[in-house]
Amino acid sequence: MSFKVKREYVERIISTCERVLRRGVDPFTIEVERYIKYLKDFLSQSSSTEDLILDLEALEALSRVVEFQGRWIRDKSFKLYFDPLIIEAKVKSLSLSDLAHVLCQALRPIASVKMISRVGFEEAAKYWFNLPPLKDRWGRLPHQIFTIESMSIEDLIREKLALRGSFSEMVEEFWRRVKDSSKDGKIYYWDFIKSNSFEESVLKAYMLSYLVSYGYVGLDYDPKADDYVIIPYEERIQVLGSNSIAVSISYDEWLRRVKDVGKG
Amino acid sequence: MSERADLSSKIERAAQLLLIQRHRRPGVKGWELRRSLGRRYLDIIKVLDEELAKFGLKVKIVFMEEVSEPKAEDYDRALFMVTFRYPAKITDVLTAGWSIDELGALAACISIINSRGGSVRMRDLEDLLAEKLPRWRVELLLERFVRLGYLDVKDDHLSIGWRSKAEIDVDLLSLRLISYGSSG
Repeated sequence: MSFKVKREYVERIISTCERVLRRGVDPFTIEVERYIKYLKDFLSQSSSTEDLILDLEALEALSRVVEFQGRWIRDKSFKLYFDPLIIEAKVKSLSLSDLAHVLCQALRPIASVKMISRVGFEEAAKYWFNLPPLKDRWGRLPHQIFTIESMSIEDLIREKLALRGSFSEMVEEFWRRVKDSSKDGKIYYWDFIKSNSFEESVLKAYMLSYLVSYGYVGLDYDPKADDYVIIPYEERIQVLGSNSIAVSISYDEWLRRVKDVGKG
Repeated sequence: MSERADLSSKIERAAQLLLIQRHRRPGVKGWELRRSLGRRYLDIIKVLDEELAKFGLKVKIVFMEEVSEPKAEDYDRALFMVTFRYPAKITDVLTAGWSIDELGALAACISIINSRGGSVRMRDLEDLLAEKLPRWRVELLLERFVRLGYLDVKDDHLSIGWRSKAEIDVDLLSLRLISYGSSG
């Protein structure tokens, strides 16, 4: 092997060490002992200052790899504590509140300030300059008399300002209703959301959209009936992609559909 | 301009760049800092970090890939941002709009992903979270974590996102999790 080739080999040793150090990959892929023997041989044959510097650089790179090997072993042995099974068991055994407290011991939130953009500022300024004076705007509305009254939770539910139970319970309950309805055979979208009141139909359509979006039920278009067949799943499925089905339920459409059904 | 005045103005500029959010995600890339502050931007960031320590803040550098000995080009591609220097109080985090359930779910996601080599099948994580939360909520939460950058999703697998790398000491989280409750 010519001395030039040997020099290139030493340069390759340096670049390999640099690559391993930079990427943080397994440092034991470098055969340190063999390289050191090679450098010793190279040093005995080298005569120029450049070669000595090259040898020194390679030795320095190898020493950093050895140092990294130590750190790598330390890191890996430390990781042993994070056995996936132990972590999973801990996650399962702790409450969400406990987990939240644990997270906060290791959480250092980002601090940032949001500012309005130039475009936003221009829009805001335009709005401000076009805004009529207060005296022109006041006095057009009748004075309102505010009184404070208390309402029971039952009243709030009746007024549709509060839900009975949680939303998740509503979703689960609705899913059960869909499954029960489909036991007798095919069930069409409009048949299902048909109700005595428009409000009830809208609520059903709203809940159904949730069930479809999150994989509890599916919709299949039936061209003959010009309607969607509702397919409830026994278990929730993974929804892939983002296909949207827009079903308009305007009041007129609702009247037409309900009348059609009534005729049948 | 004297050297001291120049340094002072560059530190001010660096603070503005890092603290004022210009893009949808907070933080500034290293190359942007280099363009604004000059070749020795890392020295300026180091001084700024010392200044921010007085306010309990620090400059956090998030590298795009794991590097044990970062070089100039790694810093150029890295994301620089300002974070709390010490862990946040849970009351502060809750005031910022998080719920206990969400924080708990995030803790579970990050520690599970970290313990399994950095990537977990989405379905596995959903099953795990569904033991404590309704399915539909799990889905919403995972979507939110991905949107906020706490998790990354690729080929139906979840990994730790850029925001988690910036905000969460992942190993400390796992360590705290294991030792939680064992000290009495």
